[in-house]
Amino acid sequence: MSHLFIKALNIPALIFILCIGIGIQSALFSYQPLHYFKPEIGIFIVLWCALKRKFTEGGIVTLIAAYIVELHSSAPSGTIMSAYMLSYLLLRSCSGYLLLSKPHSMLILTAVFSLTIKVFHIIILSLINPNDLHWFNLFEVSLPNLITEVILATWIFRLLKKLDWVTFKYSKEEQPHDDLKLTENEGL
Amino acid sequence: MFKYIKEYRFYITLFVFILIPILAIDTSTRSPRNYRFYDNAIVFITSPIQYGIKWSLDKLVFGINRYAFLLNSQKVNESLNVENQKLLNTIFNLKEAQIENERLRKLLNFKEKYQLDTVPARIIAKDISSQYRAIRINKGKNSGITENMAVIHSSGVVGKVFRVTEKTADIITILDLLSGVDTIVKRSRVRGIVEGLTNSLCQLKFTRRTDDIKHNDFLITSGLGGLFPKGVSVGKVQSVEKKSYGITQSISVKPSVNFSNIEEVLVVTRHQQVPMHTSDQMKIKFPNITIQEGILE
Repeated sequence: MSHLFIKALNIPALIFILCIGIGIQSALFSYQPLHYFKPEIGIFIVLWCALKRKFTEGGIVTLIAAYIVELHSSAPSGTIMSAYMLSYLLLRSCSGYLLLSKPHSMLILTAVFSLTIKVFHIIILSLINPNDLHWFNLFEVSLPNLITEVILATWIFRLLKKLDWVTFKYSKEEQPHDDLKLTENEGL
Repeated sequence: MFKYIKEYRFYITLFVFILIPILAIDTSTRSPRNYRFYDNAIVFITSPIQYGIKWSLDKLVFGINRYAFLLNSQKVNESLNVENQKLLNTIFNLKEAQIENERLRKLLNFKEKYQLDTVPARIIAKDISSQYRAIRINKGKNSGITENMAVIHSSGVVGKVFRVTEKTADIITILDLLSGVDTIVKRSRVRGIVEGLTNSLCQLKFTRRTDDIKHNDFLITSGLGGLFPKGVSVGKVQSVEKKSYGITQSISVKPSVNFSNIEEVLVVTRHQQVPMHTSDQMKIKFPNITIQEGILE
């Protein structure tokens, strides 16, 4: 019973970690020139949900994460949410073909996924307002963010893995030891 | 119905996942959204973290900046001290120049008032003996100064030249025991000789017991003897003492010139001569008194 209760705390804990991450991200990286290296914490949550959660659960967490990120941003409503969700669905559809056997595989995936989200975001922005978009500038700013995200990925995923372990997210057999393994329910 | 929903639940979920962001897109404005209660709950979690981190970073940056400032502060302090010293010197020099300017202006006015030919000179030394009150100026024969020229100041008589070198001259002041200046009381026109007494006082000699001399009477040069121009202030009567015997009265005089802070003087090289000699006058006035050689001219 207590296992079930603790297991139910997984998603709130994930949201709580996201809130703390956003708080740190928005305050710590507000100084110049750190501003350019501001990581997007929501990306890690979405990526984690795409890889380690069931489709519906992961989708809901992604929507909540996107909403919280938008709450702390001046981006037009729904644009981040759309970019996150599209990236989530894309990764979900590709996850069946992914083999993340080595530690640096996750870093490469983070880089590609982060880039994908940014590209989606720019595309969505260009669709909303095609006349007033300096997409190159947005992309230029996004690159330093991507570097920071790749650097931070190792620690954040380790933290998320620990959270899953603590909240009994999987059975003992399913608990990953070292490498990140996709769940049985991966893919669309 | 439920069967279909269960069968197509994946596609329904997918549709909802795509629909929600599309509905959420608000292209009309980028203005800040109004927070709802659940938004407030999220901001309630994040804002203390933001505040805490910001506060810590501000303190850190402030500390680093302060430390960096302190590292350089010694150099800055030294350079500021040097600059401060230079500025203080400049201010001091300017104030001195201003004071000097005022003094010289007074001397110039004095010179113009009495229509004198004078040589301005600066006092460079005072008598090494405490009993005598001579001073030395930085002008001598080269500037046209010779013995027995009158030396005056804007506030009154200083003394006379008694020794001259090429570049300096020694002045015997009216405070000196060997000096003597023929004067008259401005109010009553009574005549007498002012001689040195102490470091700050003179005495008025050779006045009759019956002469009308009072406290605070002004003494001016009589012009007799041709040394000093007539009407130059000599001093002010400080005390009058009439003894019960004798024919004279004892009068102490405070010189007009403050010898303790005098810096510049004028040496009178030419002025309108008064024909009568002081000693002759004195002889006329006091036939029994012998005038010491060299004191009065």
